[in-house]
Amino acid sequence: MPRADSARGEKFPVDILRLENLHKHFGGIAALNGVSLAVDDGERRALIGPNGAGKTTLFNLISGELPPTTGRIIYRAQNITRLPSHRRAALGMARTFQRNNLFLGLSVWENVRLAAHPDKGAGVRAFAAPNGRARDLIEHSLARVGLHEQRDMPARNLSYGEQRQLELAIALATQPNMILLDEPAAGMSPAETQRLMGIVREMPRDITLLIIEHDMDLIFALADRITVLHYGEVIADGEPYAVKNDARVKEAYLGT
Amino acid sequence: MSSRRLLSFTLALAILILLIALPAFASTFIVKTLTEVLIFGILAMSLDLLLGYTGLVSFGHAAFFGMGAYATGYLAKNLSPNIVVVMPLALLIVAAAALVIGFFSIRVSGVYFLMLTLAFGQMIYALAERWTDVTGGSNGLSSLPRPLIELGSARIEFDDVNARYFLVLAFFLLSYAALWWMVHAQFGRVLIGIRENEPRLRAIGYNTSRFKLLAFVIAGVFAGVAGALYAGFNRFVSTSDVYWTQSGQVLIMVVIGGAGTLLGPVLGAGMILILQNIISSATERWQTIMGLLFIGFVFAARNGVMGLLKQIFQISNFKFQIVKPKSESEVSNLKSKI
Amino acid sequence: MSLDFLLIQFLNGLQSALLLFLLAAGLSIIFGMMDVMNLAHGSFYMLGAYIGLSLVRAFGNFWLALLIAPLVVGALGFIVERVLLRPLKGRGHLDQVLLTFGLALVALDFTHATWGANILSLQPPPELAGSLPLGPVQYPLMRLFVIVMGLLLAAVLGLIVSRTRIGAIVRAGVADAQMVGGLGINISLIFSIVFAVGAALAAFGGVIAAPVVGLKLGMDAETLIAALIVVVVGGLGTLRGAFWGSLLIGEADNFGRALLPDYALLSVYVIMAAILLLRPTGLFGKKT
Repeated sequence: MPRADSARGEKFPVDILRLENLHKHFGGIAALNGVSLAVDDGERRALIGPNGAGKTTLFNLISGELPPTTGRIIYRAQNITRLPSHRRAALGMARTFQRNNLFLGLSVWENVRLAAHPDKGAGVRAFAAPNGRARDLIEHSLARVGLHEQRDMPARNLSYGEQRQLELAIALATQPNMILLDEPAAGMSPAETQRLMGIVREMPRDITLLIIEHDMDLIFALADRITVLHYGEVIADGEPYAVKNDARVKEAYLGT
Repeated sequence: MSSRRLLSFTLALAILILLIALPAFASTFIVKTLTEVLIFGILAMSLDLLLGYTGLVSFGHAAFFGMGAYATGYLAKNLSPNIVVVMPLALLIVAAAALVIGFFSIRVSGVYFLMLTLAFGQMIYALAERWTDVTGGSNGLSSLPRPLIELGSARIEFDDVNARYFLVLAFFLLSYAALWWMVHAQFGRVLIGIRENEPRLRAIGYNTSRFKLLAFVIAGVFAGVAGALYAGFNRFVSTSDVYWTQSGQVLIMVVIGGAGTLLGPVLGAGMILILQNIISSATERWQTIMGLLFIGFVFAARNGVMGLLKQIFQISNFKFQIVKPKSESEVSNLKSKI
Repeated sequence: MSLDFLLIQFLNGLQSALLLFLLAAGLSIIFGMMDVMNLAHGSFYMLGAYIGLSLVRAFGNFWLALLIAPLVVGALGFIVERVLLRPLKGRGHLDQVLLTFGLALVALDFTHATWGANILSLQPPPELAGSLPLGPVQYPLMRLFVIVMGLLLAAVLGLIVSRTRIGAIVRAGVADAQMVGGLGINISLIFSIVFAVGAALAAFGGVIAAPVVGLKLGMDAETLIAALIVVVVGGLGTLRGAFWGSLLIGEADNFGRALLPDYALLSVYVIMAAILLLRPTGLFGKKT
């Protein structure tokens, strides 16, 4: 996908995202207990862990839905720890949600149009119709997830699997450097999962992906590296097969 | 589909012609009533931008209506009755106030937003009560000059009922067109997005606070337009025009007509005003009856008149609906539930 | 500025603050527990005052009025909750707001029809007619009575909420209404009782306020708005927030009127705006 400007196209030779000692407490309960990790630019990283390990909380911290209790979040060499979520999105961070999170009353095309629009700050251009480039972007994003034919349908009328595809199209239309995918295949049938896997695999390699997922086949098919979270801490981090055979990981999943 | 578009176009044209031709055959009473309906129609549409489109329940909208009316009245008396001079000034004042009140109110959402707009609305009311030099206090501003338009050598005076009706009609059509354009532009889609799923909109990069503030100011300005017209039409402004019952009444106009559409609130305004006229000529206790009607409405017809019309329309267009086959996951989900 | 002046202003502020508390407490708990925004809450206050006036006129006894008027209005609140609000459960705030606004209109018109539009006054009972030397100043007994009753009721409410079983249910209901519903407690009866008690408290406030501030038609909205501001400042759903919010707003309003009469209106709104900037959920509200 073409990048919007040269600044976004810049390469970050080291890591695109770095988390430094993140803690998140809810009342007295520690959901995250000192998480540090680094994701390389262009990498496809899976984040796994048993239920309640803090994966979605971590996503919420990264995307700015929640503030961390302590710790730092560095994105593209910039400290974004206290940045509101819309500013993070402007820096090229996109996310999908575990539960479908669409504008159900709007059409498929309008959903993507919202994401593709160049003016998100209520300026004069907020009143303009999408220009040629925005239109291309919308078409392109819809084509990538295979929702071209459903473009005029209200998002409400899409099937569950299609709604998840639309989530992806929305994320793509923001022209991100990085997408956080929160259980993209949750609730899908095997056939729908296959289709989704194909879509994700075909995404441009320069978009960094951070994926929470339970489906191990999907993870092994997609991820370059895997990070394992357990009780709010990183217990393993490495190549898929190394992690799979890690003793602590086995224990976390099997031992109760 | 094109036949449907043709139908709505014909219908709109017919209504427009009817509105323009009306003074030729209707009685003064009807023209006056309709003028009032159009003024409150603008007010109700402007509130709907917040309520129906953005999903913000404002209970202080009368503040901007009243401010527009007071500012216009005061300026007409003390500066000039020329609309070209007075209206922009009045709207500037309203916009500034909406900016300040909006800045604080949009920091919170839901019931808090409602409480704040109500509190700020009553602040404006209290201001109107006490700032007697400008507002006339509880006596109000009375015997306001008739509005006129003076541009260079051109001069139009709005001395009779029909002339004022056309003035209001022109502003109504302009307001309707402007609001229609806004809600159909990207801006309107963003407002709907805020109503449906604000966190998601932020996550894709929207500064939703700024959109909400902008919507608040725009809604305030159009309420100010209605207020300015009201001052010229009624030639009397009083504190009851900024009281919270006025805000509540506009809210009910929007909801009765159908929130989330532009013409619904206008219909709602028409219904409420006409009902009020009828009931208040029959009994002194018309407020009780209006209150009871509101209560009854909450229980009876929650989707408004427009909702009702839409339902009828949809049923008649039944054959156009495509039934989508369920996806595999939905089917398997269903199976697992059974 | 003399110390006497400050003392009197402080006491006046305290007195209006505690009246406010009687409304704000009900408004806040009803919202926190039942998720109901009651725009007719000021109407309960107004009806309490006017019914109290009629009772005093009929029986010549303030104390009887102070007992009966809240009972009447409490019963009215019970019926409103049972018959009108209950069926709206789960329909969102807009419907509640329209409904309670309709009720407020009816109550206002009823008051207008029954007692007229003139400002009325109610004499304090003979026991509270004089004034009391309070250090360097003489202070009206009736106002002192309002202060004492306000503090007493605040203490009683605080004890009920923190120490009794029904209070525990109320607290749990504010924290998580669904959970309480699942405990097998007859939550619907408790809702009605809480709503009725809220209405009765407002009416009680109306009766003791009447000899101090008089009776007029706009008193419903005036107090409703003040109570709303208290709730915004203190935080929804907390008794402590309602108490300290009332004190802050009552004193600010009173000192604002006394010191800067031209800008009396502003003091309260400036405080509200400042709180909104610093803590949008109020002083004691839940952090989001």
